Amino acid sequence: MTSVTGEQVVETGAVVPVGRRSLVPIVGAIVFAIGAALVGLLVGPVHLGLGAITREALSHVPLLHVHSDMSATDKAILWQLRAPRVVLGLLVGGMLALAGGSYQGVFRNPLVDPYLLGVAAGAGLGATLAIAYGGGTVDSYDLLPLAAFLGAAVGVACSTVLGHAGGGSRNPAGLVLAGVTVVAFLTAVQTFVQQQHTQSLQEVYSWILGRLGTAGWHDVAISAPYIVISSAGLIAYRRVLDVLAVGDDEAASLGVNVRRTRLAVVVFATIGTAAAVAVSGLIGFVGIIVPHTIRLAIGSSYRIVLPLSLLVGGGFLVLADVIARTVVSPAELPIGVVTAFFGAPFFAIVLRTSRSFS
Amino acid sequence: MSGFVVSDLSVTLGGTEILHSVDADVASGEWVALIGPNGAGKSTLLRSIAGLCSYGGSIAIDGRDVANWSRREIARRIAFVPQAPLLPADMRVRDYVMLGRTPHIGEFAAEGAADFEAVDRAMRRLDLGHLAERRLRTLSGGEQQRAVLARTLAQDAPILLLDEPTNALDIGRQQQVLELVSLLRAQSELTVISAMHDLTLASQYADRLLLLAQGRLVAAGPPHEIATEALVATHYGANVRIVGEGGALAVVPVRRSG
Repeated sequence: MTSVTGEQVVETGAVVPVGRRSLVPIVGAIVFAIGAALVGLLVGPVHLGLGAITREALSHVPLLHVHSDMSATDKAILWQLRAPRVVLGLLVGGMLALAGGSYQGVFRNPLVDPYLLGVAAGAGLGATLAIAYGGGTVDSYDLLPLAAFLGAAVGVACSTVLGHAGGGSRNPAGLVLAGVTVVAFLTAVQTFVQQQHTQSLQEVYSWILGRLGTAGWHDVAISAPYIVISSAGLIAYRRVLDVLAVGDDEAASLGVNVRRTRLAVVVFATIGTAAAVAVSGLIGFVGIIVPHTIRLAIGSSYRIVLPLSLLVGGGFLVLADVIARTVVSPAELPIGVVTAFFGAPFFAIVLRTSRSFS
Repeated sequence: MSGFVVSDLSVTLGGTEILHSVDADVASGEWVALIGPNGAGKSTLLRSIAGLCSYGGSIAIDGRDVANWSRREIARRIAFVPQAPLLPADMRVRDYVMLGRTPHIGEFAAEGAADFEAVDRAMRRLDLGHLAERRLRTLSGGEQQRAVLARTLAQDAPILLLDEPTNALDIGRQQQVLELVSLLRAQSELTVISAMHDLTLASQYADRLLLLAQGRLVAAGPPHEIATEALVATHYGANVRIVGEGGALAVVPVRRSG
């Protein structure tokens, strides 16, 4: 039956716009992200029922007059512990996946991740300096995101300047090499500082592995503006990224300002990633696995890959966080370990399945 | 329809002068083939006209200097196909053809009904309707070539620049592609400039040949005046015989020894 429909489409030569084709996957991704968020709110040492959570949420909607029978403790667990953690997971995961997909498009390199140009190494150095020299732990937690954010910005700025000197805007490979150089240097400095302050090793290490554990509304508030603006900027470039897929010259001959586009995408992706890293540490793998899974399963057009990366990346990280805080409960696994441990085999399965279909 | 004039065009890349004071005049609706030995500057001339490299001198389309035109404005007048177009393997044919509409769609806007119509029309004209949903990597070489041409048609630019359009195709495919370009040119009143290595095909399809050698334009005129045994010997260092004329003109290499 389906083949008949297919033939009719062929005969009329009807052109189905990419936008309409992407509707089903987008709805699916929204459902996935909402489902992941619900799991994140439901799962934990204290049982909160789905009905209780729904009633509690609706009781805050004006004019509905829904009565919530949740205890004060449960309310605190829901609103002060789980909700900010879920929201931060959605923001950070979505941002990392979206930035990864954008970097891959703008550099036309499938192996690139959002940490390419020194975001992670710079943030790592900034965080290490904050932990080592920032005084007491309590104080340094306010300083930490700022230091990480500034470090990330400095790292990428160094790569960009160095890459530009090597013909970076005409030759993306020059920028990538500059990134490798800067990452190596910043990592060396960070290791040096770390060795000088061995008492802070544990704290630096736990930051590097990434966590949503300390997430409160404060972390959401300081990172959300950057992440929202960056995401909107990157999504706006989704169609232009498709044009870049035919190469710099052809894209230019189609009227695209390639240099300006590459710069804008790198700036948006970097700011968003830096904000995400500043509050959550270095959570690896999301920026590579999520966009590629979408490419293999749905399609390679950035008009689909970018919005889906945002939604699926967010949901993926929330689920990874649920695993991180339940498998060795009451202790917690670093979330970076979970994303890699479950992400890698999953990616391998996706790769195998899609190969056998093509 | 658009014609253009290239005056005193010079291009220097990495300290080496690639083109030296080239003057050329291409009439509206004309098919001009750029010929010349390897490294003569054919591709560079095409890239300058497409606005892809900086140059000295001037290029004017329909009497207007393009120096201050934006990339998008140039793209609405000139479609460019490089020697080996990069085809994103997983892109569907229809989406690839839609890329041709880029200069007509706002940078952050979505395509409109006119764009879908243009894509539809371009695919029908190149007989790609039944391949619209296929991914580029699943097409044959000839089908890929047609997809590239459909993209340039969707671009709706009056000037078509082709860098070695028959490169790496067998003799049948070469003929098919050039016949197709000839047909599209007649239907859409396109001005075509193609860089070509095959002197026989260049002579048979183009109205005029421009012979470049070492970055200079050394001869220009109708094929029977340019594809001559003397000029080919001088600039290519090749021993050839010219047989036939018009659509049957052939430049035949003749072995020197034996």
